Amino acid sequence: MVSQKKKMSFEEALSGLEKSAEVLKKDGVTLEAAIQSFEQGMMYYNYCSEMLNSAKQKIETFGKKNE
Amino acid sequence: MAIKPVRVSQLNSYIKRVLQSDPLLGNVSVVGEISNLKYHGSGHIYFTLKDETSKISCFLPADAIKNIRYELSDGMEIIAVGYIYLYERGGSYSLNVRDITIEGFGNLSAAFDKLKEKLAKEGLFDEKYKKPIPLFPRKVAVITSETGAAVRDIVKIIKNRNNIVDVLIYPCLVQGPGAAAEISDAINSVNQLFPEVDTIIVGRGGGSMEELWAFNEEIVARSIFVSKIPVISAVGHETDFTISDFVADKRAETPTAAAQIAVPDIKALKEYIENEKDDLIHTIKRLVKYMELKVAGHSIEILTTNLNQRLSYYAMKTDNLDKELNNALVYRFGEWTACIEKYKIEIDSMNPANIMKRGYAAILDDQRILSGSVNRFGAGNSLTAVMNDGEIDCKVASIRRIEYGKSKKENEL
Repeated sequence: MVSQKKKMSFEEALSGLEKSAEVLKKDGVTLEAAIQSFEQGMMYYNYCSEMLNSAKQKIETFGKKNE
Repeated sequence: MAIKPVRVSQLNSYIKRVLQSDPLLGNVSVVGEISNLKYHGSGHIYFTLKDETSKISCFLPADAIKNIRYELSDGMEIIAVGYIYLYERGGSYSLNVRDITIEGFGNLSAAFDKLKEKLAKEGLFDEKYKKPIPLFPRKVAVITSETGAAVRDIVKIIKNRNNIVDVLIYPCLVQGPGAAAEISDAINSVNQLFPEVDTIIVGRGGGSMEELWAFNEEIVARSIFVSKIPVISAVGHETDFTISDFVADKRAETPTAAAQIAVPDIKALKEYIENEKDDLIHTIKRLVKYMELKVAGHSIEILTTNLNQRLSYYAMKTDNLDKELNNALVYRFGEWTACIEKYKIEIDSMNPANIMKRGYAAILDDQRILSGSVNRFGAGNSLTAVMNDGEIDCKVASIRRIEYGKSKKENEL
């Protein structure tokens, strides 16, 4: 799970979060599946949230720093 | 005094020397309308330049074509820059073209349409080649003039929306003769030197058609097309359409719009994922509550109630059946009683007492056996006559045989 987490893109995590919510809302979902979806959803949420809070923006102009 | 006759080649050679040593003819700009435009297999272009009263043959060598910023077509008015060249073997002269410029909206539009048609035919605008713009880029390259309004607008919008994405500004000329080559180089360089870039924005702020022209040049279109990194084209205002817009993976109406397309609004995204998380929690809570209710629904109390309800239902059903059975039986008894009454009346009518009431008597012998015939008796025998209200003991005096229903005469025989 950890190695997979490192490689995951934001898009993947976001769609994972959306899918978890969707599965959870399905009719006739079992409690086990629901809890699993919930845990996965929270994992994706934490991942997205971490990314969205990692502000370390860099604005550079090509040719200016290397000369 | 006339000079002695010369050979044709000598004359042409002389004229050539005169023409090609003239300082004006060595670098001349000619305004005229293109006709007879021909693309030769060797890569050279031949055409005729004309005005209302005159015309001149023109030759555009293959190695000069790469400098030409416009797609040529018949009827287009151009300014051709070059020098007069004499073709000795044919004795004809022509304008050897080094560069061409076009002015005016009509002529530029014609060049625009020609290139657009050509690239469309090649499939450069096909939807199938359009790459999706990444939703969450880590690095965006901005190819534009370092001093223009566009770069300021783009950086401002990106910083407002997103404090995560890195921005690489790649400066280049965006107007004038050398601009297209610089833009094209910049796109190629970003692809080679910065492959980690997720999205390229290429463009500039508003301007005249001439000022925006670099984005209508083939060399720029081709670089955008081969770029492995998705390209957003953002040239001028909403109303400006360039060839770059058509070939890019996405057209932005303005540089500001390009910045909005290129990077997501982090605040909005945060809100969105918070909503999704709340939704998850809300849903799981509701689900657990629902499951709890379901489990509570299977308690002994509820089961007992259910069972009792079932039992009373069946008891009621049994009662009803019992009542139905009773009713059926009563009905049947009624039928049978009526039937028996009928038989009783019939039997009553046969009762000997009733016959006796009418004056008849039953005759019993001395053994008290009912006898219906005189044959059983002889004179002097005792018999008993049973009547309605008593019995009479009798002695037989005499016997006469009579058969009822026969004549008196017959009976006497």
